[in-house]
Amino acid sequence: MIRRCCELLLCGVVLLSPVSLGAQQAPAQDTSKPTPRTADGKPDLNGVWVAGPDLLKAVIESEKGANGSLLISINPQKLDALAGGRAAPALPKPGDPNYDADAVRVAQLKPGDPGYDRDKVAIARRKLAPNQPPYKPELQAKVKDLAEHQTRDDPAFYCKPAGVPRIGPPSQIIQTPTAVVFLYDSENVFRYIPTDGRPHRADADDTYMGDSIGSWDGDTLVVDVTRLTDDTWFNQDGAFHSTKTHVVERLHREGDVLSYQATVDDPEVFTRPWVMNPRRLKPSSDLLEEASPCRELDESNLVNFDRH
Amino acid sequence: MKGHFKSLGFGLCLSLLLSAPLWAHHSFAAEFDGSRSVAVTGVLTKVDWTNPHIEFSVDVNQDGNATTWTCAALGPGVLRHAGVNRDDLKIGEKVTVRGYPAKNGGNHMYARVVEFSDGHKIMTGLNVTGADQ
Repeated sequence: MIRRCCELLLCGVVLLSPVSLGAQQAPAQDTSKPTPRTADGKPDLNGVWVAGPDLLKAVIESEKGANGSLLISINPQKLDALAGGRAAPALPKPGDPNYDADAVRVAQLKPGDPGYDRDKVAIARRKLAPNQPPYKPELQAKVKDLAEHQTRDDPAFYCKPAGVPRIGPPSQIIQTPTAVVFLYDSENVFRYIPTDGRPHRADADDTYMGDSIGSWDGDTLVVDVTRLTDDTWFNQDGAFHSTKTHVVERLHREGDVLSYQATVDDPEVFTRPWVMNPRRLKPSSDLLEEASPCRELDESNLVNFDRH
Repeated sequence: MKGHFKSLGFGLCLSLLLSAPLWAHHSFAAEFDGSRSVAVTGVLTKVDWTNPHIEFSVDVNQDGNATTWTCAALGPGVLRHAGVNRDDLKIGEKVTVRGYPAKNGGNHMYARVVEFSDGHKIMTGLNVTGADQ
């Protein structure tokens, strides 16, 4: 996969990859610990949750030089170790529904091969990944077009919240007998989710995080989300949607592992509900902190539609 | 604190490794030419310590004319993790900034390293081409 630090450096940062990574999964043995419970007997979801190792600590290194100089670099060995922990998904074969001969060819290019471009390899691999959003056939061309113009059209490039479900699982959960609060350190957004049996608000406006109500299905917290604005994508590859989007999130704690799964339906654009790849999180003792302000400063300097 | 969800900013793509959201960012290749280098010398006049990447301005005297260069770099999360703080870029300091020029030919660049008048250097971006400048 990624072999050299210099191969990493040609693209900026993207939003989430929907693929769950072996290297970032909480160890299986963590599920064998007793599941902490709150006074009302529910699984205790309180705390800060992280997907895996701190990538900055894992791969970014700095070295102090003469006169207080500071050099920043990527540690390729650590990067390889992280990449190696991830099983490469099998590419589709001729006859498979998502087979695309050209994408398969690009996805298999290695550094040094003629035509190798790391960004294009990443895009091809995402295109061929299983579990694509199930768009209606007549809308697939629009998704493709949006994806190809992502570097200009992705709402998230303009400091807008990723929104539910693209933002992923919460960074911190605050749980009371009648409500849970989801906090996100990536974008300074929050969700207040009543769990007292009330229905959705009748007067809610469409927002990035939507209107959420929670309930317990046994030991699983189920969050039902409606009233989401259509000013977001589900992923970086043009997955647009309507305001009819309905998301159901399921959070289940087993020992020290919090499983998170979102199911997305949008009858305007999908042929069926889309069950997104699950995430596994582990507790962290870190403190949540407000992110630096976000400013979009680059659009006027873009000269092409290259993306990553 | 942690950097689990912080922006890495320009020049660093870990998308194959990440399942967590980050501030989204345009492609480096849509904006900068990693095959060329550029260096400007001038005075730091502005620092935006923002996501998805920081940006600072340098007033440069070019052929008797004052021009302002804008310099994009890594994100605040990765810079702080690496030990670079906003105070390391002081308004009014004379600096030389080396990096990769914008493809549009404007006074804009990806800032890889900032050199100060006392000789010390602070890296604000990563080596895109793999070749030292």
